[in-house]
Amino acid sequence: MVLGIGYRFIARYSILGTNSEHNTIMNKRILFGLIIITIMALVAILAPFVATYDPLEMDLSPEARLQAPSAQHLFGTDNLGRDVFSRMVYGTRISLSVGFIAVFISLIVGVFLGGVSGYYGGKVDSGIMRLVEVMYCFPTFFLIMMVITFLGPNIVNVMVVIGFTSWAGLCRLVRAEFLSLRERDFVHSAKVQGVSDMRVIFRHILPNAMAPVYVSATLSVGGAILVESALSFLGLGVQIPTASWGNILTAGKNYIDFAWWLTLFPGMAILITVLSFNMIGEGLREVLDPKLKERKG
Amino acid sequence: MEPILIINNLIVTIAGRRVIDDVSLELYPGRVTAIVGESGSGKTLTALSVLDLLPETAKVVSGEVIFDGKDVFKLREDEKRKIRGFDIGMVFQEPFTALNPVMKVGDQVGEVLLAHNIIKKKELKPKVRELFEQVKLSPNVADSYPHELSGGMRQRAVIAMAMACDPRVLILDEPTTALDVSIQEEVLALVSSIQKKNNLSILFITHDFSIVNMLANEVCVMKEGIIVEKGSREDVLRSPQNEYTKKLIDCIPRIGDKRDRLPG
Ligand SMILES: Nc1ncnc2c1ncn2[C@@H]1O[C@H](COP(=O)(O)OP(=O)(O)O)[C@@H](O)[C@H]1O
Ligand SMILES: [Mg+2]
Repeated sequence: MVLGIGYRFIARYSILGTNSEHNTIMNKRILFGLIIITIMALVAILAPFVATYDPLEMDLSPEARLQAPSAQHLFGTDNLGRDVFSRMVYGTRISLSVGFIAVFISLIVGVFLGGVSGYYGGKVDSGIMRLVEVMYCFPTFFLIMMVITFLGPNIVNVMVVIGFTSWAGLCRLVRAEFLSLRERDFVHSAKVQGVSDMRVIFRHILPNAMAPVYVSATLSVGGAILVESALSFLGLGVQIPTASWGNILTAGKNYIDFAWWLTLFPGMAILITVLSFNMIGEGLREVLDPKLKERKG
Repeated sequence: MEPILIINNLIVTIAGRRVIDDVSLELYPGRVTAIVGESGSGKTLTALSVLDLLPETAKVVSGEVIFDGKDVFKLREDEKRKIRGFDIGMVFQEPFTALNPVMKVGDQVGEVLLAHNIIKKKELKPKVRELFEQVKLSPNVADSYPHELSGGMRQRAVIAMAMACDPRVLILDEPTTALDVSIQEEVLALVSSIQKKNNLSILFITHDFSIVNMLANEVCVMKEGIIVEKGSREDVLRSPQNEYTKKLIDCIPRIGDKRDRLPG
């Protein structure tokens, strides 16, 4: 995925012309974000090897519970004597997969509906735009909470529900891009040669509409991770005993006066991850948006 | 000889204005019909109406387009799509914007072949290379992106695209206007040789009578949506009847001319 973005990036960038200030494709913010996310991704994939303990193994003896961070337990232990570091490591899996899969779902829905809407216009367009307005009317987080309560809280439902409730912004974005791109010569040219509508949409217009989509999607990954943590914090997300950053926080909040490590580490993990995605998103915007470039240059 | 393409009394309006006003013209097999007129006279819209790809704001008030005995406006959408690119190829004015910037030019040419199912995926690459050779481009150009090519090379690639399915009719909409003079001549020579080799019927749009003189058999002179003069190249060039036609012909630079003569 990262390679894919980088590739489009280069192709597009060389079209837009070069600008010495941004000539390094890896702008500093993108680089910082990518490094952090890569480390996170490695931790998630290699969780069994990175974790120093079984994340579910309890030790209820008084001396094992709520231990402060030490060489044995890097991030200390929780109220049930479980190793917080190992739980955090497994929690990375949850956070990243929810972030990516939820955004992937909203990307598919948003890009498809936005594309169809912008390309065909007319009644199809007004129909889809009404739907978008309906989506905008609901406060998303409460909508998600409501649906999750209904469907039952588990990780799959969380991903799907976040995905299906957060496509409206992307849909509008893609529609706007399509509206301007469908009048471009190469689109007319493809149509004149008898290329089918679906191919024109997906091979000609879409790849040229992707720059702002990448930016928005990257920012959304951070948002989805935040929503998942909040849901887990409220007990509507990943269910205990499975570890997620949000439910580690929940368990920690009762001991916040003396066991700071139970809230500090998951809190920091959420903060840094969301921040990294935002930095990548903002960095991408900076490099991909020609208007922004002019203003700076 | 039966015309392969006929436009009969076509009237098209945009926002109530007649942008094509009672246009009739014929294109005969193996011949070149030129539409000549200044910018905004409705040449491009006439060409687009042949493929029924007028802008959404445009309305066909009356008239018909007969291709190969069939009324194009009455065909189903999939039947029209079969004609576009397969029976009738089209080349636009601007080679700089007619190609998708993020797709290799070879893929864009190949796509036309795939769109009409006339080739298996396996045979695609060699066929595309062959098409590039036909327009006198190195086959390696197929792997380039449009921004890596010069204007002339792009226009050749676009011609390769329009010729991919070996169409019977080629519509060229001011294909050389955006190019340097020396490259204009090369592209025109290419068009001329392809026309002769494939016995192609060409609808050639231009504002330049010197190109008419080089390529056309029949000429339609268009002004403000109306065809003001129509005839064989010899007749129109030798004894133009309309003032407007005379002005356009006067624009042809002649060897020995001291100054450029412009109308008006
Ligand atoms: N998409 C469009 N919307 C509105 N008006 C248009 C559109 N396309 C062309 N026109 C108008 O129709 C007239 C003829 O245009 P066109 O066929 O492109 O002229 P030409 O190709 O001879 O330069 C012009 O006056 C132009 O302004
Ligand atoms: Mg034109």
